[in-house]
Amino acid sequence: MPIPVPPVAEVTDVLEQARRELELSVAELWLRYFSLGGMSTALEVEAILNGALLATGHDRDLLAVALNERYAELGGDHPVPYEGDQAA
Amino acid sequence: MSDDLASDVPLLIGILRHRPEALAGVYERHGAAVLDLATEVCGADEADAVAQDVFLRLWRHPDEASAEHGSLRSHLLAVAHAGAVERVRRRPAGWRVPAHDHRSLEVLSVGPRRAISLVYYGGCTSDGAATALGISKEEVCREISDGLDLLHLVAEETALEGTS
Repeated sequence: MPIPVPPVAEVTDVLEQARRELELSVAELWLRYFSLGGMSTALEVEAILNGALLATGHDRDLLAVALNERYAELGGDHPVPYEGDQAA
Repeated sequence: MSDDLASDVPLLIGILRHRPEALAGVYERHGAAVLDLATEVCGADEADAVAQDVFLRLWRHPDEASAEHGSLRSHLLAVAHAGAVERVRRRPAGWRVPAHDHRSLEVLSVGPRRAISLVYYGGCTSDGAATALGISKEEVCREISDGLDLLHLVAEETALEGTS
């Protein structure tokens, strides 16, 4: 079941929720994100997930892609919404 | 063993054991230097891709770094330089290096200027530059690093003067 599109302020909760659900460590998520072209460090990604750092729309989407790819590997859908989905 | 080398060894071992947090640690320590070098050689537009290639290559082939003598940073910078130069070489024939890039070297002292000229504009490898200059490969990398730091500083000051 897809995760409902939340207000922007709750975006990081969605990413962190998905990460925990997938049982991915921050480093594992960072590596996937980095492989997709993300340039933030793992510490910055962790800060984004904790809400301590505001992610750019690009970084947010890369993290969403990384998480959705893992969902797909496990046979699931793409429940994590993207930046453009917020305005829909 | 220098502090940097001692700190990098556990990270390199972690990468050899395929631990993502180890690569994250290496990127944290050396990402900025790699990105700066790539930017200097091939420009900001392609620097991110070069940096990504460097660290993903380290992840996939950590044995290359462990087989190298010298610091992990030297290895990463050498790979970054090779990748950035390759991107420059693949550009269309009409692409030109902006003239000011060569003139900016005039602010450097002899050592960094020669090292950067050989490696960046002469297409030499670090080993080739070391042989040509009669110094070690580590000294070549240090000269380049020092030279790039100064070029960045000059560029920032020039930019500030332009806005004042």
